[in-house]
Amino acid sequence: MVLRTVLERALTNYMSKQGLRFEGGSMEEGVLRFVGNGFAYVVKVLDEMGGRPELISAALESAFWAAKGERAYILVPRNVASMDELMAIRLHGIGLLLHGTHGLEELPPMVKHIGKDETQTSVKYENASHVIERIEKLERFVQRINEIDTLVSRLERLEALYGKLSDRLLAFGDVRPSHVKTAVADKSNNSADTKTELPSFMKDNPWLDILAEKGPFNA
Amino acid sequence: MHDEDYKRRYVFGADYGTSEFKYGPITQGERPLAVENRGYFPEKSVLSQIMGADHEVVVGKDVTLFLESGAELATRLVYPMREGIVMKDDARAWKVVKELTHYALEEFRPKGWGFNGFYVVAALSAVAPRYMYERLFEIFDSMAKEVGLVHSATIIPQPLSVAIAHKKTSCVVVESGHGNTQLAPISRAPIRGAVVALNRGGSDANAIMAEILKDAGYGDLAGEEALVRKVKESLGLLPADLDPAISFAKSNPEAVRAVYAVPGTRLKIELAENSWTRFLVGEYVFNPNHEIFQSYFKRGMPRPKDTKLGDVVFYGTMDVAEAIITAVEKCPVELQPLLYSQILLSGGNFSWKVPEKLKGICVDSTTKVKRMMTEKGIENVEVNMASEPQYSVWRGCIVYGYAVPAGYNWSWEKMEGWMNFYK
Repeated sequence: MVLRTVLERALTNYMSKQGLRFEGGSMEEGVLRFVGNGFAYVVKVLDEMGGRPELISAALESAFWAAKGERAYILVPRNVASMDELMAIRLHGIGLLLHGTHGLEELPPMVKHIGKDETQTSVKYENASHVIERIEKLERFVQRINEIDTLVSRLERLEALYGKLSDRLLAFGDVRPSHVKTAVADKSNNSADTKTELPSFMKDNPWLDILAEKGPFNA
Repeated sequence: MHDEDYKRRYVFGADYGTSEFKYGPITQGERPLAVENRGYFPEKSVLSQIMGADHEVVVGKDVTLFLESGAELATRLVYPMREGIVMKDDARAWKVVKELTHYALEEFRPKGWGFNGFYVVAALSAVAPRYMYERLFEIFDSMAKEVGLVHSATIIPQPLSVAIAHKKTSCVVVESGHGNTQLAPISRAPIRGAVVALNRGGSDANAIMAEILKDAGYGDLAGEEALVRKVKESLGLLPADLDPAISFAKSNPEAVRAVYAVPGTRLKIELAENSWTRFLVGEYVFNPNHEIFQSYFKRGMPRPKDTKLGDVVFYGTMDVAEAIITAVEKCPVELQPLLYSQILLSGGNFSWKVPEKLKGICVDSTTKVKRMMTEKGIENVEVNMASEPQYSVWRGCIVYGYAVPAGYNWSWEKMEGWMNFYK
């Protein structure tokens, strides 16, 4: 069995090769912290004694760190879980470092984990006043959403009314079965820009007429 | 928003191909997105459940990540379709189809308000049995009820979709895939009773290419399917007429000699004195009945057999021209000349190059079909190749969804219209 102290040494070497600086850690809890590339990294180190229960609690703990905006990793013995199980952790945006007979190796990082957008939008809870400020902003957003909801319901009522009026017009007026074709033509007549928006396979396609005739009045 | 305007805005095409699933809404433009039609069933574990990654089946790009694990792929990786058909009782295959459908629709779920689900146009093989339609509608129903992604749905046969995409209102679509070839006459709608299927496709051309490689001393490479396919695409030729082509090759060996250099390796494949066999590869796709193929069958190459899948017979050795004539002769007589004048070939299995120095000896697929039809006494034949055939089905779906009025309800009798799921 590889001693935890040996693992931690190997990890420190590996991380320094990645350009990260050791920031400290708790030997008792097996947590080591690193900084670099503008991010804080936290690595939970597991040895072969812990087995699966410790892996589960490490995964949950790491998910918590990841949610706080830190880059969470677990250093895990290669044989402690199946690759499918490890994938479940990776899918959650947690990095995995495997150690075995061939030394230390990182599983290919997940897109989620290294995604630029995600890292840019990660929330950093720097202090309480910042959090309060954000809550106030959210409250303003909620208020705006309520206003939009009101507008939506008004619009839906108008749409329903418009639908009824269209149906009545269709019932009383001449039914034009090739209305789809007309819609396409109208669009192209309205502006040159619209014409270019139509995909090539739709332009002058005789099926538009044929299929439009399959309307409820011609079925 | 009025139904018709709403529908045109949210038309979504889904092409359920045997190897690839192509999908996307009308706003996608000229080309759909594509993922492999397969799903991975990961090992179930407490850990996966706790981490919230306990999907029964994984589809799309994430499948590749699981393949790295090297787990038992044979049991965990499921390709749901064979020859375009999902077997009725194959529960895992249907789970893959459902997950792929969800994956595709979710990827394009619009943000904001006013979205009540897509108008989905799904395309299935022309030989898909009715239960596949029923099961697919069940999937769309659940997509409507569980995740609000489907407003209405319809299902059309893939050859109809190809005809629509190529603006042909009366034609015979000959679609040749990896495992089979479907011939479907269309006249403003699919003529369902006239569909003919062949139990032959690109994989059969690969099979004879492998035999040719064995004879040329490359037996160790003949088992590598991807390589054999590349060699076929590079060295395979389609003769205008097989016997004269072989005679020409034997008296002009240098004219037909060619080398395939395997990219990234030192390996070079040259058929040398067997270069005349390059003509067998193309000929076999169009007509495997020539006596020269008997020796290959005797040596163990599987002969394409007549098989029955569901209610459909897939003919093994019927030649392509005979299959076209069989399909057309199932249609009304007055329609037959029109159908012969619009034959549309679609699929990679019809892509045969004609080297400059072999013009006249080799031909492309359209010329070959025309010659074969003439030999059988059919005149005034016009054959065209589909451009960008890989996107044709999806494009046809988009046109179909855009044009068929939202108020036209699904009819099991006509097998067309919209099945509405939005209440």
